[in-house]
Amino acid sequence: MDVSGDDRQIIYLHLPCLPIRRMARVQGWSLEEKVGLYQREKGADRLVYLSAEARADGVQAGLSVADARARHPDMRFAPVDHNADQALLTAFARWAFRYSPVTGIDADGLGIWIEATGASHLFAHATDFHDTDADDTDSGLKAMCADLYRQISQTGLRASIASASTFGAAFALAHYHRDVSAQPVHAPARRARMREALADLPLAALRLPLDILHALSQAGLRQISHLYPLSRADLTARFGPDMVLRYSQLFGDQPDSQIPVQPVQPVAVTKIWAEPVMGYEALCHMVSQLTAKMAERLLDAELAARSFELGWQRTDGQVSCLLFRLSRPGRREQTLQRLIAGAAEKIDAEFGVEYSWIQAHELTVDVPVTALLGTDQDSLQASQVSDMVDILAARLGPDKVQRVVSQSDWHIADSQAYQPVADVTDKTGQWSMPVLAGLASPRPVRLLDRPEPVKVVAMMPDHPPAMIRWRHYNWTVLRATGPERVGPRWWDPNRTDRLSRDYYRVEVEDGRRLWLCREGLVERGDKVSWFIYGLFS
Amino acid sequence: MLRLQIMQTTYFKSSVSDGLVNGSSDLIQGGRGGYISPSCKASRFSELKTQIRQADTARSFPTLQLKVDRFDIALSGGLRFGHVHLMTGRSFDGAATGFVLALLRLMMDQDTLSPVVWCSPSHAGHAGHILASALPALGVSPSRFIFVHDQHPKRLMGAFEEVLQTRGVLAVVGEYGLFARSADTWQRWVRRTRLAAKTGGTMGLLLGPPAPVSGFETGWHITTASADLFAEREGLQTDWRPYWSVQLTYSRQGTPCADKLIYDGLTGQLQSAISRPDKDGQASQLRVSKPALLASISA
Repeated sequence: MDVSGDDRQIIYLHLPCLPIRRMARVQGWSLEEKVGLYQREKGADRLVYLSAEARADGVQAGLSVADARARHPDMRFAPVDHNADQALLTAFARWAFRYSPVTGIDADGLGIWIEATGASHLFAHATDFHDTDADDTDSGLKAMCADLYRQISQTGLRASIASASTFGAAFALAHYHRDVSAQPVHAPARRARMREALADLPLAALRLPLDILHALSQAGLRQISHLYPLSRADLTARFGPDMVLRYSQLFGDQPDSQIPVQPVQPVAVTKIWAEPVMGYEALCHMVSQLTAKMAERLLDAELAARSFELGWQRTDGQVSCLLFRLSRPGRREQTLQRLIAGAAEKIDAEFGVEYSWIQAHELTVDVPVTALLGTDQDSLQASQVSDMVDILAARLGPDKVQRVVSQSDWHIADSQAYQPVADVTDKTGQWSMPVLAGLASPRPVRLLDRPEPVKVVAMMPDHPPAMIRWRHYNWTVLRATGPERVGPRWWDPNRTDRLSRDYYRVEVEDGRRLWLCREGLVERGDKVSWFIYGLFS
Repeated sequence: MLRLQIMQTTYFKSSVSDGLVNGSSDLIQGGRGGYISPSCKASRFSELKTQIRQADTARSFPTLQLKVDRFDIALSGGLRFGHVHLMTGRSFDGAATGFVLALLRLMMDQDTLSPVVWCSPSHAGHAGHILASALPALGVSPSRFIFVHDQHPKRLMGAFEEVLQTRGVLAVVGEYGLFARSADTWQRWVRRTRLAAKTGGTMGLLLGPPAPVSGFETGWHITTASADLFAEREGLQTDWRPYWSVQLTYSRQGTPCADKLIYDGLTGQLQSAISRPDKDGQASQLRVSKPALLASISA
C-alpha cells in the first residue's frame, strides 16, 4: 500500500497505554494499580510498558523487574504479549472501517493508521469544525479526527491523534508533538509549513534504530530541524541510506509502504433440506437451526453483524427473503433468536422449502470500541437496551422506534424530527440544554396534530384573547402572555405559509394553559384567524 | 408462583364445597373431608393475604421520593420502581404529561445514563403529541428519550410490556388512549404489565384519560389547579410555573392523598402549595415561595 503523496491524508492514532490496559483487563487488575510489563532483554527481564501510576512513582522503562520489585513491592508485573497486543490493534483497525475502508496497524509504534483520503469530506457536515476559509476536506478531516478522539476517549484510553499528508509525518506528530495528548494535531499540507510543524520534533520521530539515533546524537543532531541545512548525500555518507530513507519518507519524497488490514469476509449459512420443510413447527426449527449456526460462525470469526437476511427457496422455485436489523452489531445467539423469532410465521412455505440460508451483512469487529476494553456496567446496560430496540424494530418496523433530533427552524412544528434509532450509543444530534431552564422560550408540552380553529373575543384586534370558544368549551381568559411573532419563510419560494403568526400563552378560568396563535397581522390588513396549537403543563 | 398456588388451592376448595355442601352456606368442605367454618375461612383468607403481601414485598425495589412529605408519607416512602403507576388527567390539559415529566426529571437526576422509552400513538388526534422543544424548559433532555410510535393500541401496549421487561431502562411511559375502554382486555393487560415490571425492575407510567385503577401500584389524577388559589398569590402574576392539583387516588401500599403542587423547572423540585392542617383541622394555604429565577434576579 503506497501512502505517499502530497494530497494524501493519513490519520495516525497512537495508543500508548494499550498493552497495560489489555493486561489489566485480562488479569482483572484495577486501573489505578501500578503495573509493569516486561520482556527478556540481555539476560534479564526488563520493563517495557508502565502504567501512569508506576511512572508517577518514578519507575522507568528499562529497569529490571528484580529492581522494580525490590523498590515497589506492591507493583504488579506481567510479561508482554506482543501477539495479543497486535490482535487488539487489528481489532481497533477493523473498528476504524467506519472512517475509511483502508486502515492498518503499526505494531511497533502501538498505533493504527487510517487512510482518510477521499473519505474525510463525508464528515464535513459536522458544523463545529466547519471553517468558511477551509474546504470540505479540511473541515471533514478535523471532524473525523475529533470523532475518533471522542470515541476512543469514551473507553478511558489515552490516545494521541495526528493527521498529515504522509505516514511518517503523522507518526512523528502522534508520538512526539507536545500538544497531541490534549487534542488532535493536524500538519499543514503545504511542504514549507509542514517543515515548520515538524521542526521541533526529536529525531526519534524518524523511526530510526537506536544505533543510528546514538550516532546522530553524537554528531549534535537532536531535532529534525537540524537536518534541514544538511544535504542528503552527506547524510547518506555519514549515517547510511536507511536514515535518509526515513527522512525522505517524512516529506513524501520516498514511498512509505504500509500493509492495510484485510476487510472482514461475508458470513453465510446455507442448508439444503433432504425433504421439503413445511408446517409451522418445522419452519420454526429450520429458522432456529440456521440462526444458531450463524451465531456460532460469527463467534468463531470474532465478528458481529448489523443486519441479517433470511432467505428460502420453495419447491416451486420461488425465492423470498426477510431482512432483520440490529441497532448495534451483535452476534449473541439469544439476541439473534429473539430477533428472528417471528420469522417462521411470515414464511409462506406452500408445498415446502427445499433450500434456506441466512446471511450476515454490515460485518464489523464483534463489539463497539467501548466494549473492546471496557467491562463497565454501562456497556452491559446498553446491550440490553439495544436488544429491546431491535426486538421492537423487528416487531413494529424500524421507523416506529425513533428518537427525536432538533431542527434549526423557528416554526415550532418543524423544530423537531424523528429518526430511527440506528445505534443507542450514538450521541449525535443531542439537544442543547439551556443553562437556565426558566429562561427557555415557552413551548407547550403537547402539540396538537393539526392546529384547531377557535373563536376568540379580544378587547382590541391586536390584543390577546379575552374569551375563547372551542368545541363545547367557553373559556374566559384570566391572563395571557405574548405575542411571540414568527414570520413566514419569505426566502422559500415553495412555502405554504404566507402570513405571520403571533403566539400567545393563555390561562383560562379552570386552570388550563393553552398555546394560541393569531395568523395574520391586523396592521397589515390581513384576514386574521385564531388557532389552538398546543397545551401547556 | 406462590400466588398461583394459592389461587389454585382456593379454587379447589371452593369447587369441592359447591359440590358437596350444595346450598349450605354455614359450612364448607376444605381439603380431604374436613369442614371449615366461616370464621376459620376468614382467618385462612387473612393468612393467605398476609402471605401474598409478604411475597410481594420480599423482592424490594428502590423508590423514587417526590420530596413532598405529604405524598412520600402516603406512598410509604415514595413511588416504587418495578411497578406500574396509572397517571390520568382530563382532556385538553397538559398537567398529567407535565407531572410525568417532573417525575422523569427526578429519576434522571439520580440516573444520568439510562434512557426513557415513551410509547405513544403516531397520531393522537386532539390529545396531541409530546413536543421535544418544551422538555428542556422542564429540565428534561429529549436526547434521553426513545419514542415508540404505533397507531394500533394493542401493538403499542405490547411494546410497553416488552420495554417493562428490559433492564437498563430508566422508565417507560405509555399513552393508552382508548385502550382502557374494553374492561376485560384492560384488566388482563394490567396483570401482565405487573409481572413484566417486576421482571425488569423498570418503572412503568401509564398516561391517559381516567381508567380503572385496579391492579396498579398507584393511581393518580392530575389537573391544572383551578385559578382561584392561584389568583390569591400576591406579586406572582408573571409566574408561569406549572401548578397542578395532584390526587393520589389509590395506593396499594399506602393511603390516598391530595395536594396542590408547583413544579420549578429550574431546580426540578415539586413544592407543596398547602401547609399542614391548622389547629382547627383546616388546611391553610401557604405563601408560595418565589421562583428561583425571580429570587435570583431580585437578589
